[in-house]
Amino acid sequence: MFGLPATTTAIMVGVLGFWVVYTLVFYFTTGGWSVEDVDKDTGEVTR
Amino acid sequence: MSIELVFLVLYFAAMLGIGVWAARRKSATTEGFLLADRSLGPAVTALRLQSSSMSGYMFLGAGSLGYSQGYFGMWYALGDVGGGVLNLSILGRRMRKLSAMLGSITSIGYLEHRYPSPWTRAIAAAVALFCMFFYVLAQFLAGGQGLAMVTGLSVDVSMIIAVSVIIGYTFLGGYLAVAYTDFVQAIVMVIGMLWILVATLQYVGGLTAGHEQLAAVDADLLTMWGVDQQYLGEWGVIIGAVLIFSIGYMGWPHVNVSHMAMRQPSVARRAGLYATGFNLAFIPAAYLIGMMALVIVPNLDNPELAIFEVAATVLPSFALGIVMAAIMAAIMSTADALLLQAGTIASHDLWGRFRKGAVDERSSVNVSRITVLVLGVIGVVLAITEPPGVFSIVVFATSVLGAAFVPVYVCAVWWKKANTPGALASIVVGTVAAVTAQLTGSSDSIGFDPMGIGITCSVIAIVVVSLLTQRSSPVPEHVLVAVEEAARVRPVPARLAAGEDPTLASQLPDLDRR
Repeated sequence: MFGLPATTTAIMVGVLGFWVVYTLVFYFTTGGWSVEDVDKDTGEVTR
Repeated sequence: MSIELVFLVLYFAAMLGIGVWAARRKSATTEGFLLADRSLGPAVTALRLQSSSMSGYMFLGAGSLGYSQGYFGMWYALGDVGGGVLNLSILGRRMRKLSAMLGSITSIGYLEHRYPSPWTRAIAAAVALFCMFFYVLAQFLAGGQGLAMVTGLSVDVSMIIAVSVIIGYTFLGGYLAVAYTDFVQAIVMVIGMLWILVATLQYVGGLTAGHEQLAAVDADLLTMWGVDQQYLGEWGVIIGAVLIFSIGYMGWPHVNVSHMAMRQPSVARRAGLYATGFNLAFIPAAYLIGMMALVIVPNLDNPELAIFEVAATVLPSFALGIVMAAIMAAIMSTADALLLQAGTIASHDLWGRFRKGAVDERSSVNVSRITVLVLGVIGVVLAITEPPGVFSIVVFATSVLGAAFVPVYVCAVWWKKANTPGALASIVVGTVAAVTAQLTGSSDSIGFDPMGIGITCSVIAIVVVSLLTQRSSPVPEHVLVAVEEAARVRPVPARLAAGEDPTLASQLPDLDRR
């Protein structure tokens, strides 16, 4: 792809893809963290 | 005045404006000055974290590596892309909560609170200052070389001008000023880098055509194994290249302070998204432009100027002015963040912590400014008399910081048995091992990256020493409670809020000093 050797393409796409998946998994599996968001001014939990 | 200089002056004026605005907004408390009152949202957190840790290196070191080793340099980029989200996902939320519960307002002070001992702060501060000096030196070199390209002045004169501006700018304001200028810099950096990349690819006829021309120079440049395939099978070096900018970030005190300044622990979630997005757009581009420089500007005397030379060749003069101004401002922004942190360590973590008797605000600020000046003068003298390469300095400082601090920051929130002797042993062993490996050239002699060696030693040290000393040096009860609470996903109970629990109140700094 793009004139690169297959190994280079596989490593580049594979590792960059891993980070994208890692980021999305991190984001979507941590939705529950919002329960500890306390407004500093009011002391109320914000949603 | 050339159009490049006009844009440079305009850019500095804009940054100065942000600095003045932030200085007016900042709180009168120490927490306000050092952590922006823990008020930063996900975008500022993510982009500040990214821009302050990579700008000077990315425009000189990364381009140089791409120019000299082709796609082998991408191993560094592949680790770097995940560095931000890795740091935020592993440390972000827990470090934000724990630092608030322990009443910590500096990233070095946080280590002393988690691993209670004055030695923790003294040793950590000394190692951090040592490494930060080298990192600042890299920014000075980058700033001098960049300004020389724009102005046509000699590199030495340009460096003195650049450093003078950096030091003057650093005196302006606290963390809020640095955070918001870094945020703007990050956006401009990514726009500037992508602008150069698009113009570069247009110049060489597209990505595929560029690769074909690169293959004509040396087909090995398109492989992940370097010129003459010298790194084929050298997995110790390759894994070290991936790890240095991925997990290495977690050991940088001036980066980890971003976690402590987050508005809420959950800010880490969205900040992770932004960090990866920024990194994907920005990081590989630097290495790719460096590679294409082999086609566009071959036979460079100084490969670290690859990106500057490519920009000067492929961009029209008005665009060149904007991009050059952005590059210069980004370099300077990184330097001011580092100098602010170095000044903070000297004034707050060393002078304020260990000097007997009351420390007033004026003496604390004076210590901070003297530190910045001393670092600046020594840096300039060293850079002029015996200038090392930006890439080698950054790799050296990153390796030592990573080896010294990654285990103590990670274990602080993830392993409650990690105690003070374990942390001290880890910092000392990691530093000594990484420096020794660097000086003896471990990559060439035994095929292992210095940070890999250093971090392996520091992990073993913290685990073994902590387990052996559990009875003689148990983790204090109030620290155990705070670490367990940081792990739980729920609002921090009022009794554990810093200053309200009498066992924690003694750790609070004297906020009245400022």
